[in-house]
Amino acid sequence: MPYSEKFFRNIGAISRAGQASIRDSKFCVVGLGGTGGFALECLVRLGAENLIIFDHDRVELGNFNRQLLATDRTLDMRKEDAAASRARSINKNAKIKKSGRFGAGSAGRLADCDIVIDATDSLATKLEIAEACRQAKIPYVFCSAQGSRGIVTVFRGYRLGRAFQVDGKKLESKSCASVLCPAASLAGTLAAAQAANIALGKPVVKAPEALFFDIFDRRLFWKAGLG
Amino acid sequence: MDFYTLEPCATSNAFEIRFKRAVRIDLGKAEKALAKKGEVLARTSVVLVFKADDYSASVYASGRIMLKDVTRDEAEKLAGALTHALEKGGAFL
Repeated sequence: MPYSEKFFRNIGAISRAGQASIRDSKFCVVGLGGTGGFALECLVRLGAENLIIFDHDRVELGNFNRQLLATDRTLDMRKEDAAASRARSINKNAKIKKSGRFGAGSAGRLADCDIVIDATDSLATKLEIAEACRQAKIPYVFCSAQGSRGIVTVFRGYRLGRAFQVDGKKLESKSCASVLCPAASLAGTLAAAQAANIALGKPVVKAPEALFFDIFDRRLFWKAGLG
Repeated sequence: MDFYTLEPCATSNAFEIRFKRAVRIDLGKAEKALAKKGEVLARTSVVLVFKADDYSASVYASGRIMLKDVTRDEAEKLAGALTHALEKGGAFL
């Protein structure tokens, strides 16, 4: 099925030139869990065709409460395989490059990207990815969800460690928290929206300011400084 | 069989046993091996969900084991005991 037939309903909200820009941009999604799965879904449905994904994990039962990629069919599959399969079921021409665990030596692979969405759940890993993006001058979309809350912002030169005031501190490599599906999906969706805005040349939320939300709060959304 | 690592998970009070070499687990044999230790709540082709008095575990055919509702100390003891039971039952492929 031609690209134009599948994605023509994007036209209007975005121009044809904008659609072409999204199609041609190279997006990277690191982490394919609660936020990353929804971010990837949005990018593919926005018409992105060049995607680099990082995740070394497999789908497990503990993912079902919030992760788009977690289904009975994908249980125990590698998340990268589940994500690539889903993306190609939406757009078979989508080029998905699976990169495994983000670790030492991965930073170089980010240089191929135009925009990076960091949907990992560890601040220590986020610091590594953010710094690699900063050095390569690649826009870095930060997103995070915990419980009913979430944060999304874009770093372009500003240091993540400075924003969170964690420079030089020893960090735990894993978080331990519950996350609700509406919070994870919202964070991932907003991260994809910010990434698309970058591709389209539209305004984004810029660190150290960030967009916060809490699905249990009457305000729902607000902007504030990080840290 | 002490060739595993224990990693905290992104969910609360859970730990994952990851084997240092690639192993797969025969869930049919795992079910028999674990039957004396508690109740098998469910078994599919890819996962076996097991509940004992004070913890629960998900055993995946791909070779991962998740221990839930445990502290690190408890997880370390359980990892050894479960791994031994699975090994004795011939569940590792």
